[in-house]
Amino acid sequence: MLRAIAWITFLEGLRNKAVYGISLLAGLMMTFTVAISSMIMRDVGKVATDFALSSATFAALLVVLFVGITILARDMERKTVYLALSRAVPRSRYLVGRFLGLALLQSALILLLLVASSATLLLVKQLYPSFFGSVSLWLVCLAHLFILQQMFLLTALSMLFSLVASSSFVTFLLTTLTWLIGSSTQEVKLLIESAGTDNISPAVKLLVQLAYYLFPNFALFDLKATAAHGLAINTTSLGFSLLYGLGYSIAVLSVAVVLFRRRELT
Amino acid sequence: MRWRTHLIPWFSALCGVVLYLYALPLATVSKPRHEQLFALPANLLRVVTGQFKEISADISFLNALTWLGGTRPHPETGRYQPYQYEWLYQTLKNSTTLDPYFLDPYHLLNSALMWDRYKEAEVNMMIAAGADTRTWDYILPFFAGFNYYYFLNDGDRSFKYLKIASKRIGGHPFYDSLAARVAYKANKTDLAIAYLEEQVRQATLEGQKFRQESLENRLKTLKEIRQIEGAVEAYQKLFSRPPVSLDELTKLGLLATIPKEPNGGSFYLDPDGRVRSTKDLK
Repeated sequence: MLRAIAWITFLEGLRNKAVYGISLLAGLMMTFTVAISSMIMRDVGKVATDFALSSATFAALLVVLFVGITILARDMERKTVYLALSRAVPRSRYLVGRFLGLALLQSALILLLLVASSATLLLVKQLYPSFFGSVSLWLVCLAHLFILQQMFLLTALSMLFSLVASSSFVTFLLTTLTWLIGSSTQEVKLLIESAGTDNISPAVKLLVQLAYYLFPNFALFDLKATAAHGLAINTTSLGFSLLYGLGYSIAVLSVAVVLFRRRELT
Repeated sequence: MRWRTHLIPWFSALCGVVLYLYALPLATVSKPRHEQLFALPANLLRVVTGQFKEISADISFLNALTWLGGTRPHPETGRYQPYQYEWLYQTLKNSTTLDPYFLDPYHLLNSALMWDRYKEAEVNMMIAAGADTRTWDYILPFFAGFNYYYFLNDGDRSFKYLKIASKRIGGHPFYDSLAARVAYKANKTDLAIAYLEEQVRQATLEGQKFRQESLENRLKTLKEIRQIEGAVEAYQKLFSRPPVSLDELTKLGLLATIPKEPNGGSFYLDPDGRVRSTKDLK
């Protein structure tokens, strides 16, 4: 049953026209990458990698926001959830199945984006071999894996929000805000720490610390600079980043299951 | 008749476009030139750009580059206006803050601001920070070392960065001698000798005979200079003033003989009491 729900969710996602629109947008952004590379003086490979990976992140984010949220919110708003639950499907299984289906959809999209990114970078390398720098293609692959990991986490969060929010718009807003805050908390924490003890009030420090531990740290999954400059990677910390993402996703999905079990569906 | 009804929305759309295109320039309030160029603070950008820091760094750089390509300096002075330099400085600073590994903004900082002598100390500090961050790159430490010496008259830091440049892959062997010369000119002959001794050792280990001979010749010259400097220091202690010529040192027995300059020139004292050679110390 779990597999069936996941597969239906995946097909439902594929039928959504937004997926094609988003893929087209990503394709156009990658084409633009080739055009912009001609304007760069030396670090051509780095700029091309930045554009390719940013396009992939943006496209994956749009899929979570416009496809993932829509599927679950529509289930709640249009009461289509009854169709599945009336067949004696446990609520937890239904929710996990939905999550796995969306994860499958995102994996397929990331694979597509990886192929597009690699093709773009190889083309840029062909055009400007002397200025490609130390871009590492295997790190580009790894960066895509980490984009996927953060989208899994964001999907889990969007499922939780869709259970507590009154409409899909509120879910969209909460998910977007969480992603924005989660992408910046590390920088804010660093800035507060480097500003010294006298300039920042203890209340602000406490608030930042609280936000740092409460919101997911999406910066951990951002390997753009590492891939673009071919920097050395710390495999231990990357392993822990994956573990962090996995732990956070499981925790959020579990809370979502608890809420979904208690929710009165009228 | 029906086709006319169909045309009405198209006609009204066309009218709307003409109207807004006509009104747009009239509605826009032109701002003073210095207000047209603005850059957000780097730390704010670091926070708000989130996971798009690197692409924001690229855009900041491209913004500066295209501006430079499309703006001409003042025809008489050959310089830009101060507010234009400031904008360029802030925009490139944003680019380096958002992605400290990005090479191009450092090049632009060096060519567009350093050589126009705008905020030399701050600009070179950014280039030096770039040299520290890009640990594989020899060109930025070379820029930083050169600028410290040429523009900022800071021999110590110049020596430090030239030394770094010479050690990195691709660094020209000439940076070695340049570093030693900078140390000598900054009145750090002992430092220059120690540095050259290490370079000779490295060249010997690597079997680079020609380079080893060249370095040894330079080292010999510096050692002769150091010997004379020792005598000058002793003279200054005795008479609280520098000697006028090297002969004074030999007459007093502070120096047995004036050492022979290995490059074929001769040593002399400049008005400040510093030991110089008639030959350029290459």
